[in-house]
Amino acid sequence: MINEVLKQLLRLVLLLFIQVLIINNINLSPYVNPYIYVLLLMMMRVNVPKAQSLLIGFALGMLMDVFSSTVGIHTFATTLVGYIRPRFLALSLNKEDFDGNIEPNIANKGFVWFFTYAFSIIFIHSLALFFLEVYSMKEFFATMQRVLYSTGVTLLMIVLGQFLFFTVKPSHD
Amino acid sequence: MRNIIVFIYKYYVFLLFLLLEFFSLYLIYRYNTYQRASFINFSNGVSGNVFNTVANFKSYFRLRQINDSLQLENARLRSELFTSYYNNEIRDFKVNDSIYKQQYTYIAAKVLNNSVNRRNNYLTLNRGRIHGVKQQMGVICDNGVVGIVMGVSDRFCTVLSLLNSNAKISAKIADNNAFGSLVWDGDDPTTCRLLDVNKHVEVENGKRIVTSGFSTIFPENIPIGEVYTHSLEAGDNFHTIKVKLATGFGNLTSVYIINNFYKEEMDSLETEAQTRLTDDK
Repeated sequence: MINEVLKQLLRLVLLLFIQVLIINNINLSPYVNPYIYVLLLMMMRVNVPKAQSLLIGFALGMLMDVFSSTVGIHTFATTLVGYIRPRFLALSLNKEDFDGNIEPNIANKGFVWFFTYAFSIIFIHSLALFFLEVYSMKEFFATMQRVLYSTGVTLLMIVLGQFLFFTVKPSHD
Repeated sequence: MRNIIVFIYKYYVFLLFLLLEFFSLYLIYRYNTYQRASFINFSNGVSGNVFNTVANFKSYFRLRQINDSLQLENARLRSELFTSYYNNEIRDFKVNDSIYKQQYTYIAAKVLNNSVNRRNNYLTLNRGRIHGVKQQMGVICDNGVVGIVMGVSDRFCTVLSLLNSNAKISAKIADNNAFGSLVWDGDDPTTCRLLDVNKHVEVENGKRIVTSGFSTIFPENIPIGEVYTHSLEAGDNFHTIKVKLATGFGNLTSVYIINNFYKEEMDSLETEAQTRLTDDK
């Protein structure tokens, strides 16, 4: 348990470091803003209680808001992810996964499942984030482009990261 | 009563979710409508220190460019020195100047954190309350306008960049004094749009755009950029003008915060006039 908490804290520091000090300084285009820090929420073990998942999401968002001189927008987006994540997992995982309390990564669940999972989480996060940042529907299509391109790049980074850290078994299905 | 407790117990995750989301929406709403700064203040004390460490580290890599730009600016200032003017005056007299009073002073600051690729961009500077920085002060760099101070903590301040959907700066075309307001579209950090320039005004590519001096934030004639493209749609009363910004937001390192000594007097006069108008109605 203590080990698990330490591991998550280490991950948090590392992800914030990469996000705030490296990725936020890469100005690819106004349409591409990858936010890989959601990975922290995605990679929590599957049996994390729903309320805990919510509160972690809330705290993570607050922290991210502090580091990007914004108020509330990251908090809203990550709380939403914290709420949706357990529901997505309940729909798409089987009993064995919950019994084993696995970490939902590419090694445990294979490429296709992880890709769908990551895409859903990142898309919802970006959708909430970018629309709240603009705070109006006036530039709907520009904002939508922002959401789609950023989702794509974030997804690419996260999936590549998975290949970097895990060995992927050939999928069973 | 019992039913309520059962209900809460059953749906407590969902209720917690709603509570947290409403709280963050409340923050966003407050922040987008009222004094934005009050909330931001708590954040730049925390993150300011982190950004300060990183900026210290990064500044080594840019020493050469910084030296170059300082040298350029020194040259410019030197040319404005009193001694570099030829003195045409024959009589030698001295007045204790009561006509010219200093209105603006400048506080030099270093950029700790900056972004150009979001829809709403902000900067963090290493100057704060103890250096005399207040909200709503203008920020410029050697080349042109940068933004407006929003939040101030003791040692740091956050600046609403010109590259922000909430930024609107009063600007004019230098040659003919036609004024409009400058806003950012959000797709290119090197260009802005100048709105509300009447169609009878002549606009040409390459004309200089400067601050109008109508607000109490920026002095007059601070460079903003130059006209990049312009067009006049049929049936439209205003020009569509794209402005190439003089400020390179991508590599800002040193900026100046403008302190206007008469700001409060001007602002209070304007609000007084406003309230008097509404009272008369």
